[in-house]
Parts: sequence; structure tokens; C-alpha cells
Amino acid sequence: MKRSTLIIVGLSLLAVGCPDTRSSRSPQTVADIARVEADLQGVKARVTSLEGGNGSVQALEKRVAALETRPVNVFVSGGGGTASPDWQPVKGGANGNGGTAATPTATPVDGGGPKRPSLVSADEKQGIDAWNSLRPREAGEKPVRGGSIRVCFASQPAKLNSHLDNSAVTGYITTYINESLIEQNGVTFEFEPLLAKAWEKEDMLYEIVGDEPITNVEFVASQQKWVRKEADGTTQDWWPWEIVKEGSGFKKLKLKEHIGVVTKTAKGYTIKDKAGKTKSFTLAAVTEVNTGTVFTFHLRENALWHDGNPVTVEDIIFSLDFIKCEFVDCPSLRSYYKDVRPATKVGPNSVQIIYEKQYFKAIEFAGGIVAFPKHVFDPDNLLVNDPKAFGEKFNKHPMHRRPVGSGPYKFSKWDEGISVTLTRFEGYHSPEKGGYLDELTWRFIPERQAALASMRAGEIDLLPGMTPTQYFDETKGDFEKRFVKPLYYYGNMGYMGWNMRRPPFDNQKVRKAMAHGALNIPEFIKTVLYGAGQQVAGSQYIKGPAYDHSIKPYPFSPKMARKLLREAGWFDRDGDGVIENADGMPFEFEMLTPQGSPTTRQMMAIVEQNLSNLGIKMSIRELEWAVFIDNINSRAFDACRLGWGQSIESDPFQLWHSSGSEDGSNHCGFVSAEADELILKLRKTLDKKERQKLHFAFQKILYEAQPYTFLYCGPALGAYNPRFHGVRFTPLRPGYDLREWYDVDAQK
Amino acid sequence: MRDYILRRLLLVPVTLFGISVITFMIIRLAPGDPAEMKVSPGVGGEQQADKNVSKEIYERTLEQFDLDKPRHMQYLRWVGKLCGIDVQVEGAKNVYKAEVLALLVEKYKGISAPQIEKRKGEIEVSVAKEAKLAIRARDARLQRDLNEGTSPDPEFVKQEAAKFEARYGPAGQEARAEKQLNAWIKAQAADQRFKYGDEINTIRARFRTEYGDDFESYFSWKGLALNRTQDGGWYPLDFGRSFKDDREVLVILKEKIPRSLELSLFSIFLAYVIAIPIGIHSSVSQGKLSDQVITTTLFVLYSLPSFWVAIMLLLLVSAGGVFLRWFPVGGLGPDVTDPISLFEHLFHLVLPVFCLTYASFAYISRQMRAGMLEVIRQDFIRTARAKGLPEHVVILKHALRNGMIPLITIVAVILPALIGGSVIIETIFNIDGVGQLSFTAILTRDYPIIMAIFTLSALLTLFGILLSDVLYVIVDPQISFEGK
Repeated sequence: MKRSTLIIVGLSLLAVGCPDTRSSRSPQTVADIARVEADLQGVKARVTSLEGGNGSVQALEKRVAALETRPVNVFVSGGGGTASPDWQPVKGGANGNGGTAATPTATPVDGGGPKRPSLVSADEKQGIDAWNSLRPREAGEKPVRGGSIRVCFASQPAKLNSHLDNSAVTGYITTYINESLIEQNGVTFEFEPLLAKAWEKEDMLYEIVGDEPITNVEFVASQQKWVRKEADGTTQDWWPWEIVKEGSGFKKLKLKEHIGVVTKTAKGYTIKDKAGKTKSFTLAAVTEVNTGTVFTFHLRENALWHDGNPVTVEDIIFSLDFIKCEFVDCPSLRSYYKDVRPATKVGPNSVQIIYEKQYFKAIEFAGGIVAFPKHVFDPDNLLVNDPKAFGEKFNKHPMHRRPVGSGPYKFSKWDEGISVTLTRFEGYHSPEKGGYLDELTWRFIPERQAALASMRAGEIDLLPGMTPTQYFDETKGDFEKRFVKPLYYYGNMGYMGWNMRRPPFDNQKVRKAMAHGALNIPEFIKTVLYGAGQQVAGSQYIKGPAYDHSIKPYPFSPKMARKLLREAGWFDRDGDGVIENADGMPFEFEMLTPQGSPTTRQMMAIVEQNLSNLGIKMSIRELEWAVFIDNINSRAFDACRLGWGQSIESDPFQLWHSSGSEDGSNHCGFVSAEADELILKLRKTLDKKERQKLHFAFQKILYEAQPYTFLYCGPALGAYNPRFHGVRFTPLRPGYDLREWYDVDAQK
Repeated sequence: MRDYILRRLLLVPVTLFGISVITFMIIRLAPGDPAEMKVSPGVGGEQQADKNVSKEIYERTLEQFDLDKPRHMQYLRWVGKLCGIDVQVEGAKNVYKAEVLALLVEKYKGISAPQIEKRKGEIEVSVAKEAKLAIRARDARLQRDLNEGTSPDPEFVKQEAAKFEARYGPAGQEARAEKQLNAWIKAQAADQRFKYGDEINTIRARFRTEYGDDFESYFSWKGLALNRTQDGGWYPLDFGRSFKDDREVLVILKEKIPRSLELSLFSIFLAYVIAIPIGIHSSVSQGKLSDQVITTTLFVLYSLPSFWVAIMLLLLVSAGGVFLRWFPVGGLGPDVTDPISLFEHLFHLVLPVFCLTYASFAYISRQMRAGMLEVIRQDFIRTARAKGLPEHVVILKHALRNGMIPLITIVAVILPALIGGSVIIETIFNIDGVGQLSFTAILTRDYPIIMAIFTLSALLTLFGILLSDVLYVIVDPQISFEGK
């Protein structure tokens, strides 16, 4: 996971569906085991009723045994670690009730022919992803090397550089070419070595060594910094701990930095550095201690670039420096790395990266730096000597179309508009993580029907991103015998946002009434989305640790909605069927939706109907994305339908801090002092349990204020060829890792 | 006639100018901000940057793509590039920045001469070290080439060696060291800027009085120069670079046009070859059963939307379909290198060409039929028949020529259609041609691409109209340019 934070899902609002895997945080509880057992009873009954599945029953028995003994670790495959997490990911629950029945006979390893009963209930559909995750490991087969896979994507990258082209497709493809220092395990969510074989975390202590007066500084909430505007219009800024208020003026502290492990003592702080030297400070001498912000990464000595050169510390330094170079065309990434200091070399193979402030995602940023080869892009140190020339050269460097990386796969060819192919890199430093398939190909097919047809024609092996209609209607029967249809989740959440800056949505009761009366979400999921989707009640990823499951979504109740509206002063005063407030203003508003999503169109038709029953006139305006986002950014809307992508645990600052209301992503204008305080505290809290409490408290505030009517989290729907085993779906984007896949036919 | 054509050709640039002004203004006035989209990619993108933080970045993006300048300057710069002329404008903001920096560099230099000396020494050492490393790397590379037996063209090696010498030789090292030192001094100066608040304020005040309060958005003309390539040659026909992938628009078009062209050539050819005889036939047998059957069939075809037909074909007769798995699903198949792949390639074209073609049968054959019917009733046809000429000679020699007039009108549209591509068919059959390109370019506000495609289409339309006018004269001697 290179980058975190919330993402506008935008067009992917089509997203749908969902397995019910709610509270699977501790799957080993008695209840879970009981449920698994109950599932298995069902499975056995079903399987025996299948015709001709002879060999598969035994396979199933085996799996039953496996499930009963070790419900969690079974899922860990490929290069994944086996650490048992205290935050159990969704996949662990093995709760796929009927889903267990969906695939057992499908795998060719079992000997039985491909045979899969058709899906019966929504529960069964939801189980498939859990099931697929399990399947191959159980057969006890050894992964084989060789073979190839063809994956279908809807669009092609602009450049094969995830920094210059931050489209999702580029990100997915380049993870196999360019690696980061460390990576997040999809099951445990722990970080594991990748390009760095090991790393250490230290603290930063700021000792006060003097001060000088300073004028005209002011604290800017959105940046959480002291800022001074200079005469020429530029700004200078300082961290909160660098400026102290003194009487009516301010003084700027002169600070000395100490790096090491800090312990708090009765008198002050002691810091122990790497050499083992300790130093003590009194409380008064220290202005700030940032815990866990100094990272030292030790690179693998045997890591090579695809052209044969070794990966060095200089490459890592370069990789961070060019992100920070203002002439390089990666503005959004740069703003994310603004709090990371340029890397420094601290040993022949060690690099130190300092995050400027204490932040629970510091490791994600520091360790998520993707390595790029300096000798390819900047052999003449242009980045240092002439950044502008470097930027111009780098932005259009031809090597972005045939990249050189250090990852498990190297670039092989790019047929413009048709496909990109990577082949396995034999010099990869960690062969056990290097992937089994010899070749990965991405085919680009923009049209969904054509993509499905290509799948049927056997031209592609993995089709992520089917539409619900395709998944549930058009691929029944024959298709299911030939392909496995996984349904898997990664973080996303849809919502209807209400502009809290102006009436009628400036009233909390009105927004609550919307939650009650606008849409029967469970019903919508059931009927329109074929049951594939899970209603949410907060902005965090529903299967992540930051989502509080004790908060239930508001039930659909027009009666409740009417009551709330009346309390807020809205009722039909003149008998025309439209409700008015005390000023006689009728309740009319406009709903903005981005163009192109049939699901949204269906939803809005229902919402319009429901609201008109409440006496509210809603008009719907579908806008092209560019125009839509213009309107949202200029806050020229009453209500909008949008979605966010989420990481496992998102930082709520971007979406919900009051500073983003003016100009940032807080487009609904949610402003709450209490929430601000919680968010800032939460960002600094490193203890997971502690942070979870804060997340939960924050969700409660959000739930009360209802700036959004939270809709649902939709799954990704796809299909793949059953000749691939080792398949596992995780909540990390894009949900699967082709390094774990292997082709059972490759041996033949 | 020559004069006429010449006159018309002279009008082309004028008309084109008008068209390009209008298209340019329309797409610039449409809502949507490419710089904004670059900063916060939204759709499918990974993240949205905080606008506060990225304000400066946003401005730089504007500058990079000329979007910060007034629209008429944007347009003239665009036209200039097309003609190989660099229309230079200068933002007061940049002049101001440069002046401030110059002031700071001046100030800073004065303060710390010894420091500069020290830094100079450091830089020289590092440059020398770097050169040593580069030489080592080059030797290793040469050695590897030697081992693998893949030594490149000697001429190329010589050139490379010269470049290498220029960069890492003594003179090159000196130049680089100086450049680095200057960069360092500038950087130091930038750090010190707040110390010179008063002097900076004076400069600012001067700019304010000169250009007004918002002098940062003021641009003035600076001059003209020829656009040059890196090695100094003239560089006309520069459509700019795509916002999306930073490649030159012409390179992108060169890649996509052949794909669309192939499809449209086939489809237009087939459409005419099939529709014209049909049209003639139904005009000759007007009102008979065969005419009625043909007319009905063609109108049914005409009213079937092509996206629906395309998807039905995919479902019914493609390899990914459910019934007859005859045709490939999409793409253009292999490049044509041997007869077998030529066959396969043509096989890939069948479905898309069919979808592009069937609807125009009705249109063209109706035009043909109408044109013919009008002619057939005329006196000279009756005369021809009376002369006792065989019916096929009457129809094909005398009637057909005159009946072509309505068809010629369509020629004007064919030229731009050749390269225009079809969004729907290209998308469904996964052919990465001009249609898809222009569609995504419009959605992402990729101005250089949109402008290039519009300009080319406009140009071709103009030539198409000219061509059809000329054809009128050739086909029908009664029409003449003289005396108009």
C-alpha cells in the first residue's frame, strides 16, 4: 500500500454488492466456530445431493477438517507472513454460509469435473470470495512455476509510472515493476520487508537551545502549522512546536534534534541512540517528542534493477527527492509527501527517512516510497543542479513507457492501446515472493460487454470489474462451469452528501430525516444490486478496524422522517403537497450526480419518489465528471451523490477536518470543534486500540451530524479461469496479488 | 476552373482560421479545468490532494500548459506553434520573481564570498567523483556489450563517445561545476529572502503601479521566434503535447489514425459498392415488389442502432458469444506480415466494418434512387430510349452519370469521416482509434488532442467540399464555375 487516504470513487459508483462479514475481528470465538460448523453441515448436505461429484466430497471433508482446526491461518499463502493479528481482516471469518457450497467441486485438482451448482441465495454469493481464498491451499498442492495470465482492464495507462500517472490501472500494473521499501500484508495488515530487508523505528526529540522573537505568524488549521506571509507573497511555515506564544508576541525556538529511543522519566526524558549512548533532558528543555517518526531502512544487498545494476541508497534518496521536486508532474503525491524529509544515507545500505510529525500512517508513507533507478532518469545529478530542466526531462522521459524497476516482473512490451506485458525477472532478490507465473499481460478493453465476450472466447483469464447484471444475470450456467466468479471487497463507500452550509440541509434534523426517508438502502441493495452490497453507517471501510459495528444505520422509516421534518419546522403549510418552512420556502433542492452510472440513475429515481411522498421536490441533474467536480469544488450544490475509496484505516482529516470545508475535500461543510479535536488526537495516536476508540467516538459524532447519508460498500465482481490456483482476495487494492497465483496447467 | 480551384484553396486558411477560433473558444469556455483535474484526478485516481497545499502546484500546472494566460494569448500561442513560430509572452509575475531572485543573489553573494569558495571546492570534488563513476559505468557497459557480442553501430558509438566527452571531459566538468554552484547560490538566496522584506516591497510596489494590483495575472507580448527542435531545425506543425501522457499529439495521431482509417476505408468502399447498384435497381424497378422489399429491409437496417447491433453480433456470432463462435471478439488482430496473419487481420475487421456499413446502405441507396428517378423522367432519357439504345446503356451511361449528383454531395462528408473514427464501434470492438481518442480527450479536457482532431477534421471537410464541387462539374457539364 503505497498511499493511503480517501479516494473519490467517482465513476465506479456502479459498485455493488457484499459478503456479510461484519464482526469477524476474532474469528476463533465460540460463536464463529459454531457458525462454521453449521455452515459445514449445510455444505455436506448439499454436496451429497450433487450428482457425480465423487472425488469432491472427500476434498470437502478435508477442508472441513482444516477449517475446524485452524480457521485463520489457513488463509495465509504465498509470501504472506503468518503473524496472528489482533485486528482480524474480513477474510478470516470464513463466514460464507452457503457459499461453501458454491465451489468445492470446481477445482481440477480434486479430480472431479468442473461442476458448480448455480447460485441460490444472496448469502451464497457472498461466500464465494472467502471460499476462493481457501480453495487451492487445501488440496495440498505445490505451486508450479510457469504459465501466464491475461488480465482485462478497461483503460490503458498513460505512462507506466505510478507517480506521473496516478490512475488506478497504472498503480496496479506498476506494483509488479517498481517496488516500495516495504509492503503491507493483505491478511495481517502488518508491514513486511520488500526492497528493505529490515527497518528500525526511532523517536525524535526536540531540545530547546534558544529562541528569537518573531512577528506576524498565525496558526493555519488546514496545515497544522504556523505560517507567516512574506512581503513577496510567499510563505514561511513552522511546526507547532517551533513557535511559542509569549505574552502578546511570539518567539521562535531554536531547536536541536536528537534521534533515538525516548523514554519518559519522572524528571523528563532520556534518549538512547543507536550507539547505545543515553542522554537526559529536563521537561523544560524539550519542546516536543515525536514517537516513531524516524525510520532507518536497510536495503537488500542482492536487490537489482532489471538492467542489472544494483539498487543503492542513492536510488532511494532520488526516488523521494524527485517527488518533492516542484517541476515534476506529480502534484497530488507531492502534497502527500510534504511532511517527509528528504532521505539521508546513514550506512552503505541504509537510508534514514524522517516523518516530520507524529502520525499513525508515518510508516505507510516512509516505507511506501517506490524505488526508481537514478542511473536511468538522472545520471547527471540534474535534479540537484537544475531542477527545472530535470522536471521537464523527467515528465516526458521515454523510459516511462518501458520502465526499469526492481520488482518481481520486468517490462516486456506495450502494444499501444492493446496490451502491456511483463515477464518474470529472474534476478529478483526474493524468489519466494517473486511470483510463479512467467508472464503477466494486461489487455485493455473499455467496453464491458466486449470484455465479457473476450472472457468467454478465452482471450483473457481474469476479468475484474464485471457489472452486477453481467455477474448475476448474464453469466449463469455454462459460464460458471468454465470460470470461477469471485466477489471481493476493498475499501469504498457511497453516499449522498448534503451541503450543510445552506438551507434546507443546514439543519441536522433535516439530514437525519433524509437518512430515514430518502432510500430504503437494504431493499435497494437486495433488489437493484442483487444483494451484493453492505449498508454502512460511517466513513471508514466497513471491514477495517476503524469502523464501529455497534452503530447501526438509520432504518428506513418515512414516518420517522416526517416527524423529524416537522420538528425542524418543515410541513405542508398551504396544502399544495410540498412542505414549507416558517418563511414559506418550499422544500426543493437539486441533486447532482456524475454521468454514466445506471445504478445511480435507478437510485435517484427511487429517492425522488420517496422524497416526493414526504412532500419534498428533488430535481436530478446528471453532469459530466469534469463539470460535476467543478461544481462540488466550488460548493455550488445542494446535494450530491458520490463515493470514496478507502484504505484499511483511513485518516479522517482530509474528509472531515473543518479546515477542508473552505477549499478541501470536506465539501459538505462538516464543521465541529469536537470532531476536529478528535481527528487531530487520532492522527497522533500510535496505539491501535487507543486509536480505535477515537475512531469509534468520531464515527458517533458523524452519525449524529449526518453530513452524508451513508449508502453502502460495494464489492468488486469478477471472473477468472480456474486453472489458476493460489488465488486469494484481500481488502488491499486491487484485491488480489498475481504473485500468489500459479497456473496448474503450466507443468503439462 | 483552375482559377476557381485556386481561389477556393486560398480561402481554406481563412475559413480554417475562423473554425479554429470558434472551436478553441468553445472548448475553453466549456466548464471543467484540466489543471484541476491534474491536481485532483478524481475518477479512478488514487487521491485528491488538499487544495490548500497544492495551490502552488496548481498554478505551476496552469503555467506548464499555458492555461494561466488570457485566452487570446493561448490561442495565438497555439496557432504559432502550428506554424512553427514561438509566440512569446511574458507574465509580469515571472519578471517580478526573476527580479526578486536577482536581488537576493546579488545580496547573498556579497555576504559570503569565503563560503562560496568553500562550496566551490566541494562541488568540484563531487563533480570529479561523479565523472569517475560515469566513466567506470561506461566501461562496464562496453565490456558487457563486448561479452554479449552486441556491440552497436560504430558511428553511434562515436557520437555517444563525443557526447560523453562533452559531459565528463575537463571542460564539461568545469561547466557543470559552475552550473551547480550557481544553482546552490540561488538556493541559498531563496532561503534568505525574508531578510530583505523592504527591498522586495519596493519592487512589488513598482510592479503594482506599473501593472495594477493583480499584476500576477498580467501578461505582455514579448516577440516572435522560430520554433526549433533540439538540434536547431525548424519545428512547424507542433500540435503540442497531450496533457494525459505528455507525448506529442502528432505521434499519438500517427498511431491511431491508421487504425480508424482502415476501418472507414473498408466500410465506405463497401457501402458504395453495395448501395449504388441497389439504388439503381430499385429506381429502375420503382414500385415493384423487389423495390418494396429492398426499401423496407434497408430502412429496418437503418433504424437499428449500431451499438445494439454491435453488441448483438458480439453475443451471437463472436468467439465470446453464445451461438455461432465464428468471429474474433475485438481488436484488429495481428499486424500484417504474412498471408496467414493478413487473413486473420481481415477476419478481425468483419464485424466492425459491418456495423459501420449497414446503416449507410439505406442512406446512400435512397439518395441514388431519388437522383436516378429524377433523371429517368427527363427528356433526354426518353430520347435515348427512343433512339433504340438498350436499356442498360440508357441507365448506366446516360442516367447514372446525372443521377450521381446527390451522391457527390456526400463526398464532402467522407473525407473527415475517414479519419474521424467511430466512438461506439471502436469502443465495443476494442479498437484503439481516433474515435476513442477524441472521446476520452473531450472527457478529460485534453485540449491539445481535441484541437488537433478538430483542426484536421475541419481541414478535410473543407477539401471534401471543394472536391465535391469539382466533381459536380465533371459529372454534369451543365454546371460550370465560370460566370458565377
